[in-house]
Amino acid sequence: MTEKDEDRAAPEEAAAGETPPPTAGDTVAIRHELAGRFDKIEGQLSDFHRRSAHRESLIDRLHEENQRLRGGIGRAVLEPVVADLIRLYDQLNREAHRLGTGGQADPLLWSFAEDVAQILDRCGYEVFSAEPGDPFLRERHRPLAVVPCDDESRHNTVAEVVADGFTERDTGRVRRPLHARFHQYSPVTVPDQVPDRDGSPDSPGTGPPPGQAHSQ
Amino acid sequence: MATYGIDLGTTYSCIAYVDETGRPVVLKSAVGEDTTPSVVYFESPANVVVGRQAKDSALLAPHLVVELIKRQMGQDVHYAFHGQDHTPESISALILRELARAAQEQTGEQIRDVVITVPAYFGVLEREATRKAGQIAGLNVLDVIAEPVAAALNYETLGHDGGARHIFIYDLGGGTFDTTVIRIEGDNVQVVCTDGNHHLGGADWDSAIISFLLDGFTERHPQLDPASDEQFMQDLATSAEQLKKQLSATQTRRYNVRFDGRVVPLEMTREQLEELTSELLERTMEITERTIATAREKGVEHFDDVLLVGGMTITPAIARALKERFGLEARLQDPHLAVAKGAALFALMQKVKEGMGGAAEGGPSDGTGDGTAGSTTQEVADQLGISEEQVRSIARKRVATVVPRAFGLKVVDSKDPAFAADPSRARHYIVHLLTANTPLPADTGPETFRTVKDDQREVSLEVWEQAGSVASEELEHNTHIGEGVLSELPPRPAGAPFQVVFHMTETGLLKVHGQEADSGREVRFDIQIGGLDEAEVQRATSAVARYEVNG
Repeated sequence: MTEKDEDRAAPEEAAAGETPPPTAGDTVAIRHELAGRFDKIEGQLSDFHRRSAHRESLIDRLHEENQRLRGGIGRAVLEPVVADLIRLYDQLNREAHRLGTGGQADPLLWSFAEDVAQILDRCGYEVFSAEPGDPFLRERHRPLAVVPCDDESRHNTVAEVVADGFTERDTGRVRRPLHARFHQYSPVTVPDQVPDRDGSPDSPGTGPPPGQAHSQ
Repeated sequence: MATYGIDLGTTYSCIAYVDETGRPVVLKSAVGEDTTPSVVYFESPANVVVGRQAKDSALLAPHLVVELIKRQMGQDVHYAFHGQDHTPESISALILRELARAAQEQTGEQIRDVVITVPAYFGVLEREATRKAGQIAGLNVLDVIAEPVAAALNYETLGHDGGARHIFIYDLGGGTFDTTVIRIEGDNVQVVCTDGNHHLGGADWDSAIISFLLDGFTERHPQLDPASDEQFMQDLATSAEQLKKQLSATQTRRYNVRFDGRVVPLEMTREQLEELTSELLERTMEITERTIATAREKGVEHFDDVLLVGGMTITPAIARALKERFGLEARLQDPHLAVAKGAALFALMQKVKEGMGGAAEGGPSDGTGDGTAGSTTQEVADQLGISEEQVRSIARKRVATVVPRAFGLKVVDSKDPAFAADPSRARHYIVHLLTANTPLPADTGPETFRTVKDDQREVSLEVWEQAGSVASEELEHNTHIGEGVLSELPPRPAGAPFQVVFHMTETGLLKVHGQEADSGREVRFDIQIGGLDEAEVQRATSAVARYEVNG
């Protein structure tokens, strides 16, 4: 301590001298108060740690999600283009078969369809098809119509592929199911009309309509 | 402790939850889409498929596929698939199970607490059936909430200061159109009135575009019949929907219609589309006008907000027509998913309230309540990264609606001459005890009725609900929604009075009790609303649980 410090300390000592020393009761009260305050601080601190841990886990999850989204954003941006490319592929393919001869597709148009399939492949989509007689797979096929047949073994099998399907290469998910006509076994009568799917209660193809239900 | 909101739609359904950031998030379906077609395919006695694949299977197995089941909700109809009896409730339960299953795959936690949305026009019966569907699916239905109210919650319309606000909701979905006016005062929400057309929607706009393209082609090639080609029509339907969306953002689109080697290049402008569909838009405007008039009768002079809900509302013509015709400035935000997201927010509100018990409804100001309640508040606060005070603020919000339709009891007309000879042959009619649009919660107060026979010890009471748009006392204008037996009446001469009190909770749950008129003694009353009683619900729950459900 310097002299200057000693000078300054003198009045403080004098003032302290005027305050009576704390009694045992005061000390206990102060300890209680301090203990209470420490408890509060401890509570707040543990609350702070809990929230921090929560925030950290949230940041980790958001970071992970962000990485995943960045990967998928290209696909999302391409989505309308892919839809149009699939439509173009369908139409070129259809015209190639319509203009082909002897069961063979027109080579020029078919080559254009192939090019479109290549573009789709570069976008991450693979084409798949089916053969007549293949069984119906609900996760890969979309029936467009039924073709009556009298052979029960061909029931619900592909009669004719109308448009190929597409899957996402990375996930294996079906982007667009294959469109086809399917055999339907009808032993008694062969209806010549294709059922519609407009959901009207009286039409076939809509599941059990209200009219077929029974009240109890 | 996540809670989930489910938009159980007529054609599509959707599930959302409030994530750790406090924002409602839609969970994808099994095939990676935001919504799941509300279609169920009973593939085998043990396996059920719900969604897109079920829809695609409808053509090959029409007798095993169910669509549009929401339209049958609350009705006493039964279906049989592979020898198993089903009701609209059990079929809806399968849709709910698939939504929950797909959601669980993403969140990794079991889905239990949910709120399910219903149209604002759904009556007691349909709401109860929806609740039971959730129960059959093995879910804990915290509540059911009207779709427009859920949409409003998603738009953060609650909690504004400065008196009552009125919101007009214009909801044009794929197959239905609804208008609703809701009143928000502080944290309270009430439906003021509702109207709509349940057979008008975006599909009608698509049909108009398909006709335009088809006519454009056949005018040039009348000898061809492209409409008979399923693939061509499938392509056209897909393209029509795309054109509709594109013309919401651009003025003109070209489209080459190709069939059988012929091509017709067509151009469609936004103006043309609006002209083609002007009659459809006009129909929605007429209903809008009617709703505004009804709201005015109820003292609503202007709207503070106009919300557009439903995928179709992205069409600019709708916002413009609302502005030109009624001076309404409409807001468009997340129209496809607003209902599910709002339901998720409401589910959280309900869960917080449930956990906080009395503290949520004006309990102790520190909001901790008992030990369980306190920890729930903290848990929610931690989950959302918000303060406990904010959680308590959420818990204070209150959503209430109105009586959707008038309901009351079937009674015998004692003035009918046939009454004296045989009361059962006298005219029966409906006495409405609560009228439509009565704010909830509502109480009828004690209504006095009389016995018709000497020493009659019990009375069978039938609860009926208004069926049409206007209340009528004729039986044919009402629907039987439930019944109960008032028993243990003291032996008295015919004409002894007894009283019945109906109470409807703020979310539309009906409770009834009866009492003797003279002594006021409580009389036993058991009421059953809807087709399924508790035992049937249990049976349906077991039957539905046995299925392997996938999407």
